[in-house]
Amino acid sequence: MMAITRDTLRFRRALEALRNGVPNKDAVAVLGCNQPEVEREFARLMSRIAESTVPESGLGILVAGDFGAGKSHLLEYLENQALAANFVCSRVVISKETPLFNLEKVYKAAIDNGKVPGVTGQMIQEIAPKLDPRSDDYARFSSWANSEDNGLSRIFPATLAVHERSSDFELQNEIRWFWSGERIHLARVRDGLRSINQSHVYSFKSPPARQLAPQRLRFMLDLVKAAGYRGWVILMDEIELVSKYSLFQRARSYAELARWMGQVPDEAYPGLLVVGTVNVTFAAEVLVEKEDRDKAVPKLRAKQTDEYNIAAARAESGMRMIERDVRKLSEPDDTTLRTVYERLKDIYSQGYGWITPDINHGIARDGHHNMRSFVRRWINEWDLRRLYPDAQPEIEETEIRFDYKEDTTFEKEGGDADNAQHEDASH
Amino acid sequence: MTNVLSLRKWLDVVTSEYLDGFIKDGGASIKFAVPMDPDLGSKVVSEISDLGTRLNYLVVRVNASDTGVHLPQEIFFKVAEQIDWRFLARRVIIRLAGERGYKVEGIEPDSHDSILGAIGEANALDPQFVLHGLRPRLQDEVFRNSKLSKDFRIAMTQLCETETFSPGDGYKGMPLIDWLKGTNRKVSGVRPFYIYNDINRTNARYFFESLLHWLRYVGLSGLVVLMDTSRVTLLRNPRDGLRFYNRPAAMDHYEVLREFIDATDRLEGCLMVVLPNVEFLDTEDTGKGFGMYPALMLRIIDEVRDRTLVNPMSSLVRLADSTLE
Repeated sequence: MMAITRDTLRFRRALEALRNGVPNKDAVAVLGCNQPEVEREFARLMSRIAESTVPESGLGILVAGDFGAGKSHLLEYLENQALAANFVCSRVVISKETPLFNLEKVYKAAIDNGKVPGVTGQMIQEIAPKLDPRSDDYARFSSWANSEDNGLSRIFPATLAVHERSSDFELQNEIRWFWSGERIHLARVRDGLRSINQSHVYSFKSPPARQLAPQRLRFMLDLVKAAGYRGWVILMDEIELVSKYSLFQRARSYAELARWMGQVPDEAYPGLLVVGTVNVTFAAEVLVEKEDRDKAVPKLRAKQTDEYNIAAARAESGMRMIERDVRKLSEPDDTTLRTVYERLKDIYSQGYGWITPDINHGIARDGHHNMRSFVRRWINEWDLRRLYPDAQPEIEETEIRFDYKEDTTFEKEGGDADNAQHEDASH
Repeated sequence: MTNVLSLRKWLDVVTSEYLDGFIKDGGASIKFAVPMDPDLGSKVVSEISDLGTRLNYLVVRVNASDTGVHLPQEIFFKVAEQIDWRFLARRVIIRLAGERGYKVEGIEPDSHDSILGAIGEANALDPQFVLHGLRPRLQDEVFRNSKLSKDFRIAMTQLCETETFSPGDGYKGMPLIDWLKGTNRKVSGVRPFYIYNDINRTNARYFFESLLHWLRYVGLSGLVVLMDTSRVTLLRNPRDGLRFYNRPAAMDHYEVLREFIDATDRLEGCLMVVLPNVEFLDTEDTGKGFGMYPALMLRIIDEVRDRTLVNPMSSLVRLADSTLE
């Protein structure tokens, strides 16, 4: 039986993921990423965040590619890079449960899916214990949280003070969840302040729920840095899923996209870097054919409130970004495909202890192939040749296309009615 | 075109390539095995169960008819229900004691009422002294193990710490086990152990990851999960007292499966075999098959395949009985 080394396992993990067309960290580690422009820009923005002493708005990159062009592979690669660079990193897949138009849900999804370099566990549970009140980073964080012009409700510095000084572990836990997006009893916070003799310092009311999500995001970014990390990278996948929403929800989604991508000048999220992916046909099939370009903004303005007028302007930015500022994934050329083919052949040999034969790799494209398709085809054929040595495999492929039609199941999640959260965030 | 694979061929590959290979070495995989004959499902379950047990895996079964497979925490609880947590903690104690130089021959996790008492007796030591001697290793290898999420590692540490000193002593770790199994989901039961969170949708995956690491740390090959999801695709509620999944719940279930697939690089030593029925293969987005959730379908569909041969290592296979060959 073949001796298993750490590399062998890593290669098999990579092959198992690629067999499914899903790149994992092992797959991207062995294959690399063939999008040098996006890689360079990402590295540059990470450096900018880490080295900057001046808070600036969140930074964003929007990437477009066809199905199978390597969007998920790219995000996996960027995640590895971010974690290796000591950023906290979250993958958020836009879906029914995580609608882009709902900042609170996207924030919570980012928290829930947050990965902390080198540890297993929920982001806030693993990061918060690392806050060291004796450190310079914490001192800066605390000073900022307590300043009057940070745009935060006083509940944030109040909870930070209690978290730092209270010996009530359970209350500390509740505070961490509050920071992560859950509710907290105000009475508990006040009890905590009393226990540390700080009631007279912090007086606060419960902020309206709709203001909490952006404040939490802002607060969490500084908390992450205070805990010793360089910043927070959020990788947002499958943005094309917004096509399933109603027009009103799509309009709100474009507004939120602008916020996440740092296109909102009056809201700063220093330390945040967002990379989003969208299908390359989205602009044509949704912004143009579905006429969102013309209808989304008026739909928001029709509400005739300041909030929706602001959202309308942001939606304009969001749509403009999709149309003009998106970076198209470069299609692999023949040289790249051959390089990946040779690399995969080598990995397959090392992974299975089998001399992987050359096969008809099909790198004379007929217009239907993409990297995912090539990789799956090659691995599939090698599997069959290895498991059925006497057979002559003949691989065929069915094309898969994404369907942009609306899905009313999505509409039930906060539909066209003004779904503003008037209730307080705490009780 | 529907390519069908013989059960025997698939089992041979699952054994040689996965259970006795990749998974045992620390890899993870999620496989979808669709029995084309409804009666074949139980045969798949029993064969894989036997294989897994023989190869030192913990084999667990989850059925969508009695477990809410659209909720990750329910899946965790069902798995946890089938684990002897105390047995695992005792294995850790015995191993750490052996590594510390204590005599542990003849002491098995289930051979004595009090493991610490047995070790103490074998070494002419007070059982409390034995635990005291193990604490530094427990701290380093369990309490500070970053591959275990915070509440999980606290729970495992406490399970080791609450082992009894003498036969007949009351065991104080049951609240932890009840919490892990979902028997008592209230946090009040585990507060005395410095755990303040329930196991829920958002942290269940970390408990699952941690569990996999724990099983291998304890000395098992890993975990095999056999998940029968045929109930999910029922179009009408048969009102038979068993679970029924409406469209949103079915979609949630498919999302849970997608999350497992995407997380395989964080899972250690795990083979999950999902056993849906034929209706699962419906690619239309109006049905209740995987077509209603493209994110899952696109990950497992065999759009790249051979004209006649079925790749037994594919994510999705359609199985037929070997005797039909």
